[in-house]
Amino acid sequence: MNLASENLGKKFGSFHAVKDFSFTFTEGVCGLIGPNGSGKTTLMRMLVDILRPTSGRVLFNGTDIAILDERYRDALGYLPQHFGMYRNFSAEKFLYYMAALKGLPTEQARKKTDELLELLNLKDVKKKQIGTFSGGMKQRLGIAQALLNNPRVLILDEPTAGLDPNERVRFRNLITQISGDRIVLLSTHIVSDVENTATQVLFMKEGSILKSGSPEALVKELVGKVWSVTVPDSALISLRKLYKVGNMNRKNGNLEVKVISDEKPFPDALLVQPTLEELYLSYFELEEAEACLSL
Amino acid sequence: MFELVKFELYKIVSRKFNILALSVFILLYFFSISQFNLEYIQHFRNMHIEWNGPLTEERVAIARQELRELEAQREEDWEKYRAEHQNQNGVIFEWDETSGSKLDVRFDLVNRWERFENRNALLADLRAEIRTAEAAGLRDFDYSKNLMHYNMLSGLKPPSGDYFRGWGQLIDFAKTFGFVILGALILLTLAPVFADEYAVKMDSLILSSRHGRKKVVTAKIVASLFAVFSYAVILFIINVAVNSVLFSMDGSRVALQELFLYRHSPFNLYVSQYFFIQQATHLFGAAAFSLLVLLLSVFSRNALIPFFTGGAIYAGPFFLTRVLNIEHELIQRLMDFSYSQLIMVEELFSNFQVINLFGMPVLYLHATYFLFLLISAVTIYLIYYGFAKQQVI
Repeated sequence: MNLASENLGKKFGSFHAVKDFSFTFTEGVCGLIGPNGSGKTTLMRMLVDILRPTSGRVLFNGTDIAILDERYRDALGYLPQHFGMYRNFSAEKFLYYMAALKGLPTEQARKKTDELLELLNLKDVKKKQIGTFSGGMKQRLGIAQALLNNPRVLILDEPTAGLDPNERVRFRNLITQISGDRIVLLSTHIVSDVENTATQVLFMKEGSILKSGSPEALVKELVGKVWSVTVPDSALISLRKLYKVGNMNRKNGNLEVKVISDEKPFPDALLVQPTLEELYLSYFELEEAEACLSL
Repeated sequence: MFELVKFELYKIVSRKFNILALSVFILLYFFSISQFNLEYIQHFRNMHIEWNGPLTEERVAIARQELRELEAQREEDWEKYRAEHQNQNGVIFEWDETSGSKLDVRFDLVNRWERFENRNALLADLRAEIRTAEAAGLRDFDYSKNLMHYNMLSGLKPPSGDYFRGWGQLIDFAKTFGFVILGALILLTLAPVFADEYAVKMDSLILSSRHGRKKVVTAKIVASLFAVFSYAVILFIINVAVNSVLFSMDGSRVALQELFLYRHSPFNLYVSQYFFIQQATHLFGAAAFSLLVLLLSVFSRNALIPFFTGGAIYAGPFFLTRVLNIEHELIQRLMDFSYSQLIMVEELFSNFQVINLFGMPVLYLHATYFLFLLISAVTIYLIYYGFAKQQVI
């Protein structure tokens, strides 16, 4: 099973939101990472066929999704970045409605709804109106609706936005558990969301693929280039001018900082194991990266 | 599919404003009904009973004589009253209701007969024109039109003296309360059907689901029409219940032409038959207009846009021709083939009107039915096409 984009492009006026994007997604979790405006959401909208590309096409198992039409959407689960729900519907009613839209028979819809409400910790509030829900509860309900039809292709745009740390862990585990025989494409601002779950990572910048591969393979590029240095607070500004700086922790009144450098930056710097976050930093400008990593 | 229709219907009925609007309109209707003089209605009905049955020249002559006497009596009473109240200001003369309704019944009967005579005169004129054309070997549009008119008029029923005020009231409803209430409810209820999906950002979830392009549209159309038909049925029940209690349902087999506004109608129908045909046409008009509002809703991100645009399309031609009395040819044609004309129904049946279709006379009624069937079919296609092609940007 595969989902392929062929020279996919989208222009809004003279602005290229997505440029000549060709990639084949296969079973497993693919993390889509990039700063704001890199074209992740536009790409996902084209992949779920709610936005017409300016150029190129999307193929599901070799057939254009425009031809497959509802057969493709039948295989699809989608969680948009920004979505609304009917405030006067209860969580349960909303899922029944989504199940009807997805063409699930009534009995199956009831069974699946119960199962997902339980899984996403919404069972106790299933009769409550969505209008009374917090952002995190709405997000979980959004995830539940995406999973209703047991989709073969699951496209999740910023699925962890609004989730608390516990919920994020539960979500990651859930995705890992279900991703074996389906294509899961997940965009996120939070690199750690995909670090341990993704089988493939795609870095996007200005509408194009900057880098792609398995997290392990990608991280290998940085082996021998990530250093840990301990500096006083006052040295941070000059350090940033010289090097790309990653995570930092406070240690004995000083700062323990991860620095990306081809060469040993200080005599007492220690070589450490790189992570996806440092890789991200190495690709993007510090401001963009910080904006993403801090979220 | 049934499940989807249920949900779409739930979305419509759970908007409390729709129910509130319906309740307010019904209250307004009852308020207007409460202004009727029930005593007069009862007298008028009782006075009419003795005149039930076919009208003949002899019976009309009696009615005419009695009408003259009653008018003279009223004049006399009026003079007497004026003399008694000559020094008072603001006093209104009110004749007693028994005499008043007695006069009104005679007046009504004489008018019915006069209309019958006018029809016979028109038939004679048409016959003469047809013969002249035949003698000249003319078989043009005017000839066909006159022949059609003549054939339709010559088949009409003779006049009767039966009381049928209840049917008159029932028939009047469609072009007054029916037109205003149903139009307003359609706009209020259906303007948000698609527009709200975009406004609450449900469009991406719907459009990316299996049935989110076609079946959901079918469900929305079915639920919308069901809601509108329910409104129409509620109004129908209220109309029939109120008017049958106030005026009775007597006179179901009176010819349509006995209603003053339909005196020139060429259709051979009893008032009761016409009432049901009228209701069906009214409903057809409501369905056609509902589809238009849904179409506007598909292309609007805010429900106010289809509400006001639909409102302008609905009431615009009526306002220009009936309120501002603009007599421009194009505006008149717009009114002739407008949603308001179709929903009010009256003009489709009240006169002999034809359009020239390649030299063939086609009844305005049939042309209107055909046109709105065609418009509705195109509208349905555009609703499906418009929603399926929606993009989330």
